[in-house]
Amino acid sequence: MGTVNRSDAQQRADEIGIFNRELGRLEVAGVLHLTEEQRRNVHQYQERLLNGYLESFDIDRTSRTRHLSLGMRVATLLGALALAASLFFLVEQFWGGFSATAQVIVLIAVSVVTCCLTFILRKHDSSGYFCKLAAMVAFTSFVLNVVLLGDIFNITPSAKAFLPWAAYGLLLAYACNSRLLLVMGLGCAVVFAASGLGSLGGSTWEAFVERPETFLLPALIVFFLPACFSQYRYDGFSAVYQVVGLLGVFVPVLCLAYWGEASYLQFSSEFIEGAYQIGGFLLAAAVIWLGIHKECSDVLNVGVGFFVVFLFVKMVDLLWGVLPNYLFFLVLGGCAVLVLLLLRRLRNRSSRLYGGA
Amino acid sequence: MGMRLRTAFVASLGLLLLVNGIVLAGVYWNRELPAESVVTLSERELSVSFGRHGAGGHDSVTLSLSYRRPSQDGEFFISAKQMQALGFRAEPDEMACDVMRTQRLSPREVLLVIEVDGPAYQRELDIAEKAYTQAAQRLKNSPRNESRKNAYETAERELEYERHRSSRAFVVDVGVDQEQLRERYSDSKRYAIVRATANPSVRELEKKQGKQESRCVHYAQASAMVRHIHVPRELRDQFLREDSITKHARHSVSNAKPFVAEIAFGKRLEPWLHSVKLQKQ
Repeated sequence: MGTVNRSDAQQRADEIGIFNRELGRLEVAGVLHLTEEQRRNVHQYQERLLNGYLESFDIDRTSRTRHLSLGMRVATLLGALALAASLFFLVEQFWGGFSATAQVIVLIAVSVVTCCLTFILRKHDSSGYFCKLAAMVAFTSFVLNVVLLGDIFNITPSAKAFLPWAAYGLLLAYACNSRLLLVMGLGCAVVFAASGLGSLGGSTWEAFVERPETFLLPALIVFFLPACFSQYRYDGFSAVYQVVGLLGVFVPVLCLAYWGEASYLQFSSEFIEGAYQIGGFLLAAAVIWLGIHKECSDVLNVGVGFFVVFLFVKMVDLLWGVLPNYLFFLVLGGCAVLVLLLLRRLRNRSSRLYGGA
Repeated sequence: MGMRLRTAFVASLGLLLLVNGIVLAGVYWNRELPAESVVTLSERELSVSFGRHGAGGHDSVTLSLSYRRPSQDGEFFISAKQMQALGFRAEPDEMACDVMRTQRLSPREVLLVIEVDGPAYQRELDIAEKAYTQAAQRLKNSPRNESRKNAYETAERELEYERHRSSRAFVVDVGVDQEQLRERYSDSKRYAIVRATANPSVRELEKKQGKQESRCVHYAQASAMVRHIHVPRELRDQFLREDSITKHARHSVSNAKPFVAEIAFGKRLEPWLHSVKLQKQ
């Protein structure tokens, strides 16, 4: 199988490390002994492979570099947030001193400069950390650009702004391999689509906020997109699509389970809430099954997480105030143990089924 | 730069410029003369908000249009019958609340006709004057009656407020067809048409005697979509002159000195501050 993304390269590098350690143990135990030539060939092959990965994907060859990488990722996120905030406050500080023409020029110039900077860094920064940081600032600049233009010229608010934000977020995400920007791009796209659906019958663009059902279709489309368009070349993108899609389904279902008035369905609120509560449990169970069946840990985790949330909220709804506090938490703890037992059973079954693979 | 990266760069840059171009072209088109309407307003209709950005930063000023509804228009801003004409699937008459609450209506975009210093204001002034005259007459008949004295003082204060302080901008009509509304209210210096959001709701009516079931009625509230009007730097300095406002008032809705401002509404009904002139008190 050809390696095409960073995750695969990292996994292969890890497997090489495990193989070498096990080989050392086998040799010490006298089970296996490689000749000098065989050892040299294996070593040369592995070095060639690892150097190639290092050059293309900036992988971590040791646990020390892996910890440092994690620190760099955290620093990138914090740096991006800090730089975006700095940009916002810089603009705010001097904003009032500019004429309308100067304000427009500053807004467009900042967007263009940050965009150019992102792509220049993308070309020269093999690690990608600085490029991702610049991309976040570029995205923030563009959002600020559109919002402030609306403010200066008293433009009627509309959901149309979410479309270019989504497109720009996705372009930067794919150019810089940034999962955070992918989340933002997809979020904007879902909001734009939900607003479009919500205003189909002539309602205002912001009506979707009070109609969680408008999120369901766009979120489902996002969930199934990786099945239609392979994201294999982009590290972790497929999981981001699935998680964003699932959140876009679960959060509205959770809202509707306790806020029936927000539904489009013309039934009583109690009926709608009951239906969404049952639907939420079934959906979470289906997602857990899908996660296990497709061996997709992110899908499984979201499914388990929401199953627990639905269970917890339902128990609060039913038992809080009825049972004494100690008994309520005892029942809650008991339910957590039950979920654990259920998941362990699923895991054991899964191990038996795929154990040989 | 690889081919794929170059394409992404060109697409990103193109997107930035295209979006800014579309926004600015829209603004230019909206502000193309003649404007759809230009109304003259004062501090009575425009509340001024001041803000200061950061330590030592520059002040910003925004104006908010405050308008009223004629008191004779009844309890509801938009009645159930009016709602139907605006495209809502509202029930025209009262119904059982249980049935009505399952018909969840979404907010819709509507157009409000705002009349400035016109017959609607005159009617309100007449009402206040009439109330004052009646209170004065009652007090004259029995000058020692304390409650009549209080009523007289209240009526006097309300008349004073109506004459000199309250907003003279009134919502006189609501619709969805801009051309039709403009035809009906052709004076573009007195009537401004603004975009608004109509939020539907259900109100429970008081139970009639002998009736078990509670009855409800649809109604809607409307509020302008563009709530704040940006004051550009060239015009802002007039509001920020030391003598125009007290320092205390700077960071909140102010007690600004009297001013006269021309607010224009363009082809997309988006407003802008055309001119402003401070008046001597």
